[in-house]
Amino acid sequence: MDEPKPPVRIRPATLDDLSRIVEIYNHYVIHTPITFDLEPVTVAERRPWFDQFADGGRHRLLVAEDRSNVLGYACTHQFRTKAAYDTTVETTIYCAPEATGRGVGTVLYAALFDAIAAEDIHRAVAGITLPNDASVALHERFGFAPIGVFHGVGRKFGQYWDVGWYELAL
Amino acid sequence: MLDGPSATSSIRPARAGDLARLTEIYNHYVINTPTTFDTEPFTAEQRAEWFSHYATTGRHRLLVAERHGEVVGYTSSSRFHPRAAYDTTVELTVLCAPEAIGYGIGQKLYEALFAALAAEDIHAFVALITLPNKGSCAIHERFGFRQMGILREGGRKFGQYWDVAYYQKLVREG
Repeated sequence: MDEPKPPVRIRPATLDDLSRIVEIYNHYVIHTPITFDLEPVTVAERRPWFDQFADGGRHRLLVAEDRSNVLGYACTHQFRTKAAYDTTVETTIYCAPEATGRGVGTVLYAALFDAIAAEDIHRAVAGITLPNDASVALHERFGFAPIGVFHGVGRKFGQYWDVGWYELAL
Repeated sequence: MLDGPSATSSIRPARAGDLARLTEIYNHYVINTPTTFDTEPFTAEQRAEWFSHYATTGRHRLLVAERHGEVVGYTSSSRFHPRAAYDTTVELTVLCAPEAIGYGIGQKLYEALFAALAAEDIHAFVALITLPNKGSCAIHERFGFRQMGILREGGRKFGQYWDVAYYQKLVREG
C-alpha cells in the first residue's frame, strides 16, 4: 500500500549540513511554538551552536538523509551550564515538514541513543511545547517519562505556552 | 531574641561593592552543599559577568539583606532560558550566609523581590531546588510556588547524584 520509501541513512552532521539544519529549524521558529526562538537564525549565528558537537563525547549531532537530502536532525546538548548538570543532556529532534510521518524521528533517536550509549551520561531530558502529540509519543516510545509541566513559561505568537519536561534514565 | 533589634535586617538593591561578599556567600554553597550545581568556587572577578546581568529596573534584579552593616544574604531574578519566548519567565534564587539562617531573612528578601518585580512583564517564576532541602521548599511554598515535578538524579556532585525539584509560580492574568 505504502509507496516504497528510499532508505534513510543516519550520520554525524558536518559543517556542510549547517545551512540545511538552519533551514529546517527556521521553519519551526517561524511557524510553530515548538521552539521558543522568535526570530529566524542565520547560519553564522548558528555556528557556535554547531561547534558544541563532536563525534565523541556527550554532545552529538546526527542528521538523517534520503539520497542526498537532509530530512532531519537530532542532538544531545548541554542542559544547563552549571557543572554538576554535565551528566544530564537535553535532546532535540527536528524533521523537515515534508519528512514527518515517515519514521525518520524514530531512526534518528535510535541512532542518537546508540551513539551516546558508552558516554558518562545519567539522564536525558526533553522539553516539549504542548500540545504536541507526535513528539510526546516519540519520546515515550524511547522510554522518556514525564517530569511535569511548566505552565505558561513561554510567550510566542501573542500567547503563553506550556512546556512538558520528560526524562530518560540512561 | 531572634526578633530583637540586633536581628533586624534591611533590604536594598545590590551594589558593585557587594560583589566580594556575594561571592563569599555563594562559594559557601558551592564548596559545602549540593544546593548549587556549580562545583568550583568563584573569584569575585569571575563572578562579575553574573553580577552584570542585574539592574535596578527590569525583570532581572539582585537584592541584598544587610544586618549590622554586613550583607548576610541575597536574592535574584534571572533569565531562565536563553530563547526569547522565555523572556517572561524568570528564575529565582535566594541564599543566606550560613550564620544568618533562621532569622526570616530569606522571607524578607523574597517579599522585597516580588514587590520590586510587581510591575514587570513577568508571567512565571521558576525555582530549582536540589533535594532534600526542606527550608527552601517551605519558603517557596509559602510564596505560592507549587512543585511541578522532580528531575531524578539530574546532577552529580560530591560523587553522587542529586534530585532537582522544579517549582513554579504563575502570575495570574487580569
